[in-house]
Amino acid sequence: MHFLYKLNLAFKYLTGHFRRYIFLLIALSFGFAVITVMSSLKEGMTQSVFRSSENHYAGHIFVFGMEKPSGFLLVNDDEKIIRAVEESGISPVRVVRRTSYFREGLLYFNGKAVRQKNVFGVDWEVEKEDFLNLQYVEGSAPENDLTGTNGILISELTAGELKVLKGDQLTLQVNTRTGQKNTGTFIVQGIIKDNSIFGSYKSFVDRRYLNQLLGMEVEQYSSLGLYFQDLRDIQEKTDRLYAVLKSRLAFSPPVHNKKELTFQMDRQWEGVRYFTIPLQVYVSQVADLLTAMELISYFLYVIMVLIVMLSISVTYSLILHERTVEIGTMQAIGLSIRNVRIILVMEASLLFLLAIAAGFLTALGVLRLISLFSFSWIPGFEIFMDKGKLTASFTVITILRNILVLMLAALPAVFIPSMLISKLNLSDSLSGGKV
Amino acid sequence: MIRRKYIAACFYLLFTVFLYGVDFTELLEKADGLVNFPDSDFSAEYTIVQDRPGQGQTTTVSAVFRRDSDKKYVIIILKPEISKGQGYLKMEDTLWFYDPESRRFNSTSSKERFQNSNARNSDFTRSTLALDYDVLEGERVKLGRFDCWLLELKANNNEVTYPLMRIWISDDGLVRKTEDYSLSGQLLRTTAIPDYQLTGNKYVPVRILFIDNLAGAIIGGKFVHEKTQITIAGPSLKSVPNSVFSKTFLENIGR
Repeated sequence: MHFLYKLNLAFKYLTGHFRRYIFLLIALSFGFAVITVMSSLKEGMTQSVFRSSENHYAGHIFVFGMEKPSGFLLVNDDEKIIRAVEESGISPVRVVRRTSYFREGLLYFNGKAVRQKNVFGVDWEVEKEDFLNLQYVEGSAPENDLTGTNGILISELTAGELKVLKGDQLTLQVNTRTGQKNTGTFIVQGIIKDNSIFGSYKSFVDRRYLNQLLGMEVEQYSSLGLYFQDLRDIQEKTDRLYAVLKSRLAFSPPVHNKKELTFQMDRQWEGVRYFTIPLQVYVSQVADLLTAMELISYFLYVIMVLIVMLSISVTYSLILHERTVEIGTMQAIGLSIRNVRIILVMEASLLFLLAIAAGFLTALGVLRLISLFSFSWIPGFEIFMDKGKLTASFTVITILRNILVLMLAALPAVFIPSMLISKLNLSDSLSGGKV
Repeated sequence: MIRRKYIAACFYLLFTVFLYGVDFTELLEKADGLVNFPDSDFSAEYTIVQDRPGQGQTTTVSAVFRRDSDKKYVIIILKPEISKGQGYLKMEDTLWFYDPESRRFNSTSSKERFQNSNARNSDFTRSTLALDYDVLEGERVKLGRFDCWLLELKANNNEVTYPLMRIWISDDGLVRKTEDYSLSGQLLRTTAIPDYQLTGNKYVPVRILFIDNLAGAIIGGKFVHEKTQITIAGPSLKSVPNSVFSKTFLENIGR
């Protein structure tokens, strides 16, 4: 029998018995929707963490120096590092230099002070695009190039606590590299909306101006960030860069997570020691949390798949039982057992495709609904959100994997009853024998 | 440009010395000498009242022991109850902070704020103005009832918190007022010492008023600065047992 003819028959039987199949269709599409929502949200949360950390740390691989005993982050050997980057052949698409001042920066306005977790000195001309893409409090986005100005971009939280608006003048108090007090005045040029884990108390100023306040030379900085197009082998690229750099500069041994990094940074030495790390090291604790969430989602995933499998098996067996006589009649008019089996599987496959489409549309609806609400009231949850909202991310691999998993669950639940019913002899089938 | 400024400052100082017969370094040495105790120990009770506009006052009472000859000092917090038993110990170049709750010593910096007040840990130790600062300029001025020398100082090392200072020294050699500036020249803190008490042949402030020139709040449309007043009572130059200047002493007190 021709394939298309069988397909046509299967389609006719499916539409003919559609009312019987409705529950099965709902079970399958609901299962697929739940799995899709779970996996895409998890993917979206991972990407949110990665995006905000990428923006916060400015790069995918970093080279930074730490001066002891001052504890200042300091890179003195830009030329050597850049040459090593070229020789290692890792080919970054962009190189960003930043001066970072941690924890001790105080922003004053009208007598009120807010301590900054991070004050970043940035080269506006290099990172212009990144800052244009940030989300700003309405009417507070920077309009001009801030290169060489005393402009400052502050977080919404800092602006709220200081009660400042765009255009207000702030005083930033820092301790110089040698521990003396220094201050600079800055004009607020933008108020950044950032609900991520990294967004709370941070501000961005011109790197040269910050260097001057900290008593650093113009060409010095704290860390060199390297951006890459392909993020798949970042660790391998880091290792390659380290291999070239370790013989040329005083380098700390490679570190693979935040704990190891803290341990190495707490050690005692004199002068500047360098570190090279991938972005994953900075976010390793968040990554651990994501892995835990992934395990939970897999557990729910398996439970969901089992429920779907069970409901398909029961429902499909019942449907076939109700159709035993019909199947016997098909055999009586000359259809072979094999063809009957194929038609039944085709029928189920068409139903499966319909369920996948319905499930995907349902998932899109649910995700759209979720995106309308803010979940920032859940303590600590903001680290997984993008601009205060949970966002989903669909990757072809994830969707195909979800379809495959559901198919593997549905196949035995469909195939076994089809086999059993097609094995009944004709007289049993025509008399409505049990499956 | 900077060299020119220094040369001009040197000429100015030479001219002032010639005109008034005053050596500013000597003036600073005298000011340090009057409030330091190189030949004896020192102890007193310090009451620190921190006033944050709009937030009220907090009071900390502490016992201070100094042995300037060894560059050591110990501060024990007596009040409030929540901080009781906390202590500071300066030994060699390290300043230790002891917390009785965790029973741990952590190193801190003399540049840090003392108990979150406007005073710095360094305000409790011996005065080293002549050692740490060079005089850029000096002029005769009137400060309230005092005839003073107003000196502009610049730090000659990186150990001090404030790289620039203006200091008012009355004719009796006592520091009456200081203004502490950031490296960029921003006024950060003003200190006033209106009265001293004579203890032996040394002088101990009766009150020290610190005004934070950056921190404060607008109250009733007017900017009110954050301030801290330290009152020093019961100063004594009697010998303090060696055991006081030790970690064990702080641990025992904290129990």
